[in-house]
Amino acid sequence: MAGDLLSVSAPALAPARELTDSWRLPAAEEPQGKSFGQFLTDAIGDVNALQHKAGDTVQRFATGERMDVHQVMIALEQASTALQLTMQVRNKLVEAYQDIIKTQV
Amino acid sequence: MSGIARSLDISASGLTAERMRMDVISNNLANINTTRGADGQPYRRQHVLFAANENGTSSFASMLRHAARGSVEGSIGAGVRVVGVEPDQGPLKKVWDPGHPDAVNGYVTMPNVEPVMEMVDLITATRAYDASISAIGAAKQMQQRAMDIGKG
Repeated sequence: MAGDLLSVSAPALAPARELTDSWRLPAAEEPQGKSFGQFLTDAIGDVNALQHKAGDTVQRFATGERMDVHQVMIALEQASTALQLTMQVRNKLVEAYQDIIKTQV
Repeated sequence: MSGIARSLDISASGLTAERMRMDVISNNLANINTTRGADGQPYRRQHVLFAANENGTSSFASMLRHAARGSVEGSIGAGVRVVGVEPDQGPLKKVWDPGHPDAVNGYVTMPNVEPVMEMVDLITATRAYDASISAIGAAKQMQQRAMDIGKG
């Protein structure tokens, strides 16, 4: 429906991931669990899956398959919410980047 | 992301179940005077049976994940499903009408569908449907408010 979000945003995420990777502690001291970059990638993947599911649902409904109206609306709403969440995450990342860039040396 | 999708999926299962109940009620009302069914018997009123979805049926991977972490979220149910549409076991009505083609000894066996009961069930199903819609609206509003944390 909106294209493959993952392939479009992956190159944009590369500088963010480099930034988080460079701050990682040495292996012995690193806390267990996923890094921030990994969280972000997983979240983008989920958003992508929801967009695909919404597009697929709308297509099946438009081609006449008998489907409940509420299922179509809920799929669309989930995709929209996930996309808005991604926009907020992007805003925060850009804000953080700009704050760091403004550092006077 | 599973938190966002999950509450809407639970409400969606409720909406689907109530919609199926509406279909059964409509079928009962449409066949209120059906003296010849598929097997030659008069139409019997139908009930729709709901069962709660245990969390395990949503996905094996998520069940394993919740059990490994010991989180409470693994014990929350996953909505409702329709397990069957069963005919009512009550007695059929006998109406005196000797001229009717299906009359036996002057009595015609009519379906055991009460219009008043069906209308009450219709109202109940509509209210349950509206309740699930309200739950969806509340969940959506919660998510929007949470996203406002980042603004400003």
